[in-house]
Amino acid sequence: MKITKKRMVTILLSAIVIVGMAYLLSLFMGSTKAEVSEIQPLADMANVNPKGEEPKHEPQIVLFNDKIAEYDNLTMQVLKMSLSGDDAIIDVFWELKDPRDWKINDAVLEIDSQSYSYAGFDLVEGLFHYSDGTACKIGMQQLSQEHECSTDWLEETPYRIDRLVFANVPRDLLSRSVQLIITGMEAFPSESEYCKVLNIEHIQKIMQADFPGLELECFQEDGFQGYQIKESSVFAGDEKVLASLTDHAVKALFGNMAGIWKFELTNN
Amino acid sequence: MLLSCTGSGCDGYPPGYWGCDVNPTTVSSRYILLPDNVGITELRYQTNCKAFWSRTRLTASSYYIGATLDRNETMYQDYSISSPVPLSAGLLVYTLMGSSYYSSRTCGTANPTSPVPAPVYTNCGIFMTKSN
Repeated sequence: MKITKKRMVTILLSAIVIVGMAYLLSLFMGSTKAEVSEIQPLADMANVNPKGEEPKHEPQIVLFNDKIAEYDNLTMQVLKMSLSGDDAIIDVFWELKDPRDWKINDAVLEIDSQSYSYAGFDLVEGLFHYSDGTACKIGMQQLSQEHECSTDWLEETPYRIDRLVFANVPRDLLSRSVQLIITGMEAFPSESEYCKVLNIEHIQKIMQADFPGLELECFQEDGFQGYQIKESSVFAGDEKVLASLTDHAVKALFGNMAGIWKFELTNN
Repeated sequence: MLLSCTGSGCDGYPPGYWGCDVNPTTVSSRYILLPDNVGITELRYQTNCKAFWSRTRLTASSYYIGATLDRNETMYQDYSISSPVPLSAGLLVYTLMGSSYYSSRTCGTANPTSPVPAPVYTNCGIFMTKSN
């Protein structure tokens, strides 16, 4: 009887252990199932995009071969229009009129008659003639190994292809009415030619008619470049004289070319 | 023959030190719109030196300005400059040079009331590399 009672206790304990283990096992399986169900959508995404990268939109690009405009013997051609994020990018080929560092500085993009500001440009490639009689090709988009500079290229018309950037445009840009209007170029002297182009002695001579004894200087030091009234001059700190000096300096430093190069870029 | 630097040999020098300020080309730019256009920040590249630097210049008066040559690789330091006083139109600041073998971009801005922090990472162009 004693033995039978012991057996029963053993059987009962074994049953409890088995039931407990079964319960724990079911909990574990349940948790694994939940993880699987959470992972499942990722597995679905992986089928669509094996590298697990963010889904990419089809590039929106329109190529052109007939968008050419000429003004004052300067030819421009729009080659491409694309959308990059919120920016409209327009590739423009244009000829350079002389060895100065010309850049398109005045342009507007009209989308359904609303104007979008010109944010800047990035060079794609160009052929540049320099004032020392050299000519160089610079391509920023490809790793061409050809020699960059050659006098042979002095026979060719210098040009730039720039990517003009217009910020915060509508995402459906390419299905809207689009016009590009370029109205100006600017040339600003290089760091080495700044003082030569400014010609501060000439400005000083002109201004001395109104401000006798005025002394001016052009300076370049420690990353700063500019012009100023000499501290020893009687006009140092005179705001009126500084404003007049600035007017003269801006006229001397900024080479400008105005025009209108207009392109209808609506993608029909 | 003039001495010059090339690529990494130009790192940390002013553009004029090795004559790299002769015939540079602006390869990237961003206008400083506040919201009116008061200036421009430019990535400058010189073919012989294979070097970039950043330049910010004013088209309007009475602004503090700053420029940074932002180099993509963290092991190479960025170069920055900022004007301690407001400047007039036509004045400019430029950074030291960095090799064009390493991806770089220009950043720069203007402020009417206080100096621009250095480095400045607003109003940036795109990263560019020129290795040949």
